[in-house]
Amino acid sequence: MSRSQVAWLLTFYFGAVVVGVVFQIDRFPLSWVPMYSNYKPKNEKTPAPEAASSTGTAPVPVSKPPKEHRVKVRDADEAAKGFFATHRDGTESRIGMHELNIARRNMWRLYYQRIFGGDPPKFKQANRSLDPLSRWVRGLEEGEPVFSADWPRRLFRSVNATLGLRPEDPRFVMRLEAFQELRYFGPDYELLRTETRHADIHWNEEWAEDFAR
Amino acid sequence: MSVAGSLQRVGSGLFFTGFSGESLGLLRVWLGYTALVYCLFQFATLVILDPLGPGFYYIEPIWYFSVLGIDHHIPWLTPVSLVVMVAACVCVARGTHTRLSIAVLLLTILYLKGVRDSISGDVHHRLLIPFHMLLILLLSRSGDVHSVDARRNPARAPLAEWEASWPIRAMQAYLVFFYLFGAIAKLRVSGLVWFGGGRIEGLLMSRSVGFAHDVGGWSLRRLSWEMAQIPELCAFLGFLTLVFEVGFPVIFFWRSLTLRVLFLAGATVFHIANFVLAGVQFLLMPLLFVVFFDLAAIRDRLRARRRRSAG
Repeated sequence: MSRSQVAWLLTFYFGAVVVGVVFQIDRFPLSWVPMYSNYKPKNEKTPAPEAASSTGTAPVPVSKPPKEHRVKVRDADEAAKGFFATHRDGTESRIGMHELNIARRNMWRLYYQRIFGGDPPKFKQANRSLDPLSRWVRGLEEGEPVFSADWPRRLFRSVNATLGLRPEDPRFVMRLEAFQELRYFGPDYELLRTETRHADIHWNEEWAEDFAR
Repeated sequence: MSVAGSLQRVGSGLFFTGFSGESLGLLRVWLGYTALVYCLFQFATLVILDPLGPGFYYIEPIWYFSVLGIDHHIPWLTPVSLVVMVAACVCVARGTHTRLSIAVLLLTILYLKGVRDSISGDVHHRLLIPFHMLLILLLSRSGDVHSVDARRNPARAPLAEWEASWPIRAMQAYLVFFYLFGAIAKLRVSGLVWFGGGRIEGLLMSRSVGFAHDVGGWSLRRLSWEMAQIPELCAFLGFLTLVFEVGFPVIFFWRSLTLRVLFLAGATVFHIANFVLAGVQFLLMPLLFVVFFDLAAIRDRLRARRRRSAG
């Protein structure tokens, strides 16, 4: 390559990188959001109803009570064992990383995030913060999300298809459950209580079309 | 003088001067072995998968898998890709069929990253910088120095300064962009509140008390726990993150070796602390900071020192 060709190449290359950032494209190897950027404070100041002015002026922001810190607990062994599954024939089993032949980290994301409806960071970041220009380029309406997924439906499809099960099979997975401990700490970081959240998703027969061959 | 002319002169000064062919060749050797360590660290989780086991149907295939219609994992292909990736890294470092090796390495990275990220739908960004650096190497003449290719074909013209400099400066530019865009993305998504300390506090708490069982290393996790309870410290660390990411591009313009060493030492501490205290997986990023140094000059300096001590 000649020197001027290299100059053009660099212009094009960095132009593409900048276009990716400007239009918020997150398609590897282009990315506008190279690190985890999503953060929403739990004790954000919000206008309380009683503080809103009756004269039509702006509501006065009022702090919520002292914050609690909620920590989602990950139990690596439990996540590896996997979902509590109920099959069409009524039997129950655990479906985990070994049955699905996936890595531990992938398994805990499915077990602690997707089954609870939790989106990957890529979804959250784009849905929360796409600029008007980026929305216009994608032809999105006001409030329309960039990414959306019916995670229960996708989970049933992934789990059953991986295990070679079709909707008519007696071993077809009809229900998946997961549990996660939540620890709540007070303003002085003392442990206040623990709770368990429970994800319980059921197969919908209308989704059988996902298995059409 | 026209504005375009001035820009061209500045761009030329920035991208086409400063390095020799030796520097580029040595950098390729470094990046080849670094890619080996980096990629093994990234894809270690795939090693345990059973090559004869079931193929997982992806929950959210990465975009290029969607385009190609790849909707499930092919388990036997993963260990094969890992072996090819390792061989390609070694070939890149040795400079054997350099361009082909780099292209193969990029393809294996795309495939293995696709497998890893499509299973649960996360798209990680830790491979962005190495990928772009390898892409730039692919377009350069990095295989013409310090390589098996160069020994096989000694008749090739030596690299001019501009040919050796632009790939290194382009890698530096991408790296500094990465950090700057990191800060811009945080501001776009979350606003200044990201840097207020709450995010740091959450990471530290999750790291320290977010595990069901004591998985070892409590002394370090205890440090995270203690730090999380000091809001002023978390706020200071948040502010430091902003300054660090926004300020990163200055290193592209610094000529002083001492300043660069000091800044990058700080950046290295930043990544190690992030990994140890908050579980952020950018631990190996400092290996890539070598692009900010002239490896040929360092080698010559070390040789001179060795000669002095021997003589």
